[in-house]
Amino acid sequence: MKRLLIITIAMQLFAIGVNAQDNILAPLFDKFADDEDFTKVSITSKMFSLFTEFEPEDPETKELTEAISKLKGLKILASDSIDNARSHFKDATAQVRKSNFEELMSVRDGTDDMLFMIQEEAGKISELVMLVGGKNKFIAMSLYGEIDLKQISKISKGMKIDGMKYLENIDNDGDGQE
Amino acid sequence: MELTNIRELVEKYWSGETSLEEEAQLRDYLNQEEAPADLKKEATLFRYYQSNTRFRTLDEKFDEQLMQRIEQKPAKQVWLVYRPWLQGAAAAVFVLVTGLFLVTKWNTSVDNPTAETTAVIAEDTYEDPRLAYEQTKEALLLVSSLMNEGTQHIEKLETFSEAQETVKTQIP
Repeated sequence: MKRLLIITIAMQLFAIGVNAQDNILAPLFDKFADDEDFTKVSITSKMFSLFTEFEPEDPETKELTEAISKLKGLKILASDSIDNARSHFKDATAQVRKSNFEELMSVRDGTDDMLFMIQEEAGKISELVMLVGGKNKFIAMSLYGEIDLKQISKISKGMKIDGMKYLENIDNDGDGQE
Repeated sequence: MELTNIRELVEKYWSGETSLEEEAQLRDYLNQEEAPADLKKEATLFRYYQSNTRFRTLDEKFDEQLMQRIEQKPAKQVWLVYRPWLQGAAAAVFVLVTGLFLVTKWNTSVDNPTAETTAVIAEDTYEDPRLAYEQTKEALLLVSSLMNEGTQHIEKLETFSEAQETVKTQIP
C-alpha cells in the first residue's frame, strides 16, 4: 500500500513536471507579462494553419514554408532597452540548462552571447530555444513542433541576410527585415 | 514390591533416569504403604503430588484460557486490518486527485480542440495571420541566420585547420 502511495505521488510529480515542460519559456513570459520594455510574441499552431491561405509559392520561401508547416508554436520575448539584460540572460540560461535540454551551440560575438539549446524526442528535435544576451539586449525564443536544423539553416542562406544586423532590429516589431 | 527395588527406583528418580512407568510404580507404592523412615521424604513429596492434581492434570479452565489467549492476538490484528483500509482510502483520494488533475490538463491542452482554440485565441499575440506570418518568418530568419553565424566560425576554424594541415604536409 505504501508502494502504491509512492507511485501515486511520483505520478503527480511527473504530471506537474510534464506540465512545467509545456514550454520552457512560459515562466519567463509570466515574469515579464506586465513589463512594457519587452516585446512578447506568441504564435500557435492554430495560427500557423491559417498561413497556408496566403503563403507565397515561390522557390525562395519554399524552405521557410516547409519549416513553418512543421511548427507547433513560437514564442519570443525580446527587449533591447533593459539594463540588466545580462542577468536575465544568465537566469534564462540556467533555467534551460536545468531542464532536459541539450546545448547545440553557444557563440559569443563581440558583446553578444548566443545560446542554442534543443530538446529531442525520438530522434527528432521537438524544441529549439535560442537565447541572446547583450549589453541592453535580451532575446529568448522558443520554437516547438518538429524542427529540422538543416532546413532552418537553409532559410537564411537563400535570402542572404546578415544575422547580426538582423538582431539589431528585432525589437522594431516586424520592420526588421531588409 | 521389594523394598530394595523401591530404593533403586528412588535413586534413579533423583538422578532423573526413571521412566514414566517407574515413576507411577513409585507413586503407587509410596501412597499405599507406610514408607520406611529413610523414604519418608519421598513419600511426602509423592503424596503431595497425588493430592495436588494441578501438577498432573490440566485445569478445567485451561482450554478456555488458551483459546482466549489465541483469540487475543487476532483481536489486536483488527487494527492492522483497519489500517490498510485507511491507507487504501488515502491512496484512492490521491488517485482521484491525480486523475482530476490530469483530466483537466488533458481537456485544456491536448484532447479537446474547442478548449485549445479558446486557449490559442487567448494566447496568440496576433489576430491577423499575415502579421503572425511576417513575425514567424522574421523569427525563423533570425534563428537561421544566427545559427549560420555560429557555424561560420566553425567553418573558419575548419579552413584554418585545413591550412595548417597543408602547411604541415608541404613543409618537411
